[in-house]
Amino acid sequence: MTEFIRNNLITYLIVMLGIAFIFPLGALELGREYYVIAFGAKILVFLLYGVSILPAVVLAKLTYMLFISDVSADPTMAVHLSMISAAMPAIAMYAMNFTGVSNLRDLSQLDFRHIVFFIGLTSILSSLTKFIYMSNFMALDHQAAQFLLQYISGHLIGGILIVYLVVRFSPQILSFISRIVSVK
Amino acid sequence: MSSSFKIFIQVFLIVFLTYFFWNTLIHLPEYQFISGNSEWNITVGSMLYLPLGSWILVYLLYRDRALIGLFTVTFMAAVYYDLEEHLMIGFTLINTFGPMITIHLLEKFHLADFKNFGVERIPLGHVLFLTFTASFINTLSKFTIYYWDIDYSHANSIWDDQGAIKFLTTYLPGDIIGSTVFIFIAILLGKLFKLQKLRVTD
Repeated sequence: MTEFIRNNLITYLIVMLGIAFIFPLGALELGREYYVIAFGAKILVFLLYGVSILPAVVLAKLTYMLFISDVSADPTMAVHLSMISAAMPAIAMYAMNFTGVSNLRDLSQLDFRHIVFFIGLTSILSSLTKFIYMSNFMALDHQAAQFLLQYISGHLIGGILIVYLVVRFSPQILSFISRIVSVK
Repeated sequence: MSSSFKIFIQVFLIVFLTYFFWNTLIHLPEYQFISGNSEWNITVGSMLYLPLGSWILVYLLYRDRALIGLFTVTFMAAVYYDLEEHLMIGFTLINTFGPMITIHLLEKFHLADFKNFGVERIPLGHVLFLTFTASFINTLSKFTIYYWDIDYSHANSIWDDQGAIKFLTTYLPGDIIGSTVFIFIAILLGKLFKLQKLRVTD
């Protein structure tokens, strides 16, 4: 139980750190592209801890939507979007484990190609569900394809970039974190 | 008769008969009652899109050698459905290359190996994942082609455009259900009637 709470707490901090990039990016007038890094952080925590950290991801996204973004005017929408955002990596991970194409539970045995595919699948699922949900509130038909492809490519680049940077350039930090929090 | 020609005939028959069966099915009043579609519309997908399953099956059986046969039938289908020029080209290319790209993608990423399909036992989970991925690729590519630069006044004059959401929420489940149902029935029938004997080998 303590491990569950500790993992969720660390997850919350990591995802919030990813979201916090909205401030420096905002200063560079790239605030709208924050989701690229936030998505990478989200993928990273799912790879580190599995689906057990789902509550922390929902909470982190909810914190962002209620206190930082302009979705705060509609709390119901904020809750729905947070749940969609957190559930999609979990669904993609479950689908890959369930069909036996990969075992994302064991990081030590994992092939980086599987991670890349997982990121791709999550970006498609996440973008599609958000697009379908958002279209109930705004007319997106005229830029539908561009909107969707931009969202998918943003997620894809962010996910691969963040995970690659962490795996490639910070193996010591990663193993240190894994040892400290005893992931598995 | 050369093996390439036999493969062409087999691929042609498998995909053509699937199209024929599916086209008959969607025109049945019972099917239209269940799906809610009264007539064919490019922006509303079928909720049981069986042809995708047949494209995946022929690639699993004959790999890239199925390309010409599949291209021929999907092009004939595009002509039959009287698609506009750019949609006809785009959709035919997606239908022909989409499942092939998916299979190669899964193999390149070391997620599955379909090279010995029908010879060795392939885990059903891998086939299920293939149908899911192929459905996503098929829907997203068609969505991109259709909605990239659409002239709505023109589209509405040809067919009643139902919008992007209707497109996605009918194509995606239809592709997933249709391809999964087709592939698993094909595997079951293949095992029951020992149809692997009919497979063309060099």
